[in-house]
Amino acid sequence: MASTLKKIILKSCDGKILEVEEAVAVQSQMIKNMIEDDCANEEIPLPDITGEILSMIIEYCKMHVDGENNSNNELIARDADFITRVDLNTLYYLIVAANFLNVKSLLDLTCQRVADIIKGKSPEEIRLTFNIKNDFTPEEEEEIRKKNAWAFDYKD
Amino acid sequence: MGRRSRAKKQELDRISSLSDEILCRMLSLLPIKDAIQTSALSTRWRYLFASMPSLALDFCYPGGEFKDFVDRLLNSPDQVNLDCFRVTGLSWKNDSSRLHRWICNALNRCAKEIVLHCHELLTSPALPAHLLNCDSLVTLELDLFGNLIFPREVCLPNLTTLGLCNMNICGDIEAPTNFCLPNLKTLNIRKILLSDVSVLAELTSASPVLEELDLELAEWPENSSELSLHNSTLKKLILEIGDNDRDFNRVVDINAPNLVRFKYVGLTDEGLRLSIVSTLGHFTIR
Repeated sequence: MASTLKKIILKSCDGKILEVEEAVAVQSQMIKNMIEDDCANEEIPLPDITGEILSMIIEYCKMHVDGENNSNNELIARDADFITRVDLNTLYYLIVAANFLNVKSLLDLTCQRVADIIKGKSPEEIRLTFNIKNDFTPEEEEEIRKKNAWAFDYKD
Repeated sequence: MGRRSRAKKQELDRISSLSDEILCRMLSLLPIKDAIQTSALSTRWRYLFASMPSLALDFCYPGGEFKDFVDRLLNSPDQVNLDCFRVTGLSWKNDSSRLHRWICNALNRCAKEIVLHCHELLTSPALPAHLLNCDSLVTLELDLFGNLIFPREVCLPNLTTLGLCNMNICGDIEAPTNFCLPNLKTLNIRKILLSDVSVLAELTSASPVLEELDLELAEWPENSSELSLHNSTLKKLILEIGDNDRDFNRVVDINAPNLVRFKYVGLTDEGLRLSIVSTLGHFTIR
């Protein structure tokens, strides 16, 4: 089992070096492809991922490799515990990194988390939560709401 | 200056800077109503919903407004391939042509999964012929309260899961259906009336990798005394036959050498006999 103990060296954009077991690193489809193409023998620079985010992603991947034999419910509970500890800024950087590294289950988890935050909120509340600037004129916004009134709880 | 830039940093709208692909993926995870509400957030979000890769349309909203919206949505120019097209709670009687159009649209967008749960549909829905002859479908679930007439050719090369519920299944009267389901692993047939038992026999014997069959017949098929289920790869079989209050002899002939789990749900009566050939043993249940 020598191959599973092989270490992959990752370098974050702020210069942090992390050694990761291959079995954990290949949770990232991008790194898996690099290993298959024999391009992962030296450190892999990750230009847009900070050491803090990279550590979290490795924690997540490790959790999934270690938990392979656990029941589905256990993994779901661990995922939920992992993602609810994350604030909105971190969530954003996790999405960007999960997308770049192509860790599908983490991208699903993070996107689902954003969807859960949006769900049940009015547009005003969503804007406030994510600091989204409303650049519509009042007339434009009114038109959008009227066009799909069924979705905006308009009474006939 | 440091304080100011820090304050500014906290006010950044990061979510809007994510790619269209990621945002559309997020919208797909929302109930359709919440997804559409995001169109009022800002110009960045205005049309994103039109490119959602997965559409789950729950017809709990009254009036024709929602249907018109779906028409517009499916006709929008931003066409992305669909992972999933799901229609639930449809209960109108005269809109089967609309449903037909939507299914065609979903098929044109290479839908991998199509799920239709429609109730109180009194007229038989006219399903597009290519729904049962297409390359993209991996999962197909039809719960339609109507007749399902299998065409002569049913070819779904990538289908792994097929669910049929609340339907009267008929074959082509002129000739038996030729099924091509090389990847079908799971077949769920619930609350079904069978006008022609040979359709079921053809369907099961023509699925070379079938592993699970869940078969619930609402009543014993008319005009037949034997139901054959022959499949060499089948591992799990759940059989349920309703309305067993008949006095003539009926046989379910199961030949599944690799069966490891078998469950019969329902009452048995004098006339019903299950003949099973499998590694579980060869036995007969009366």
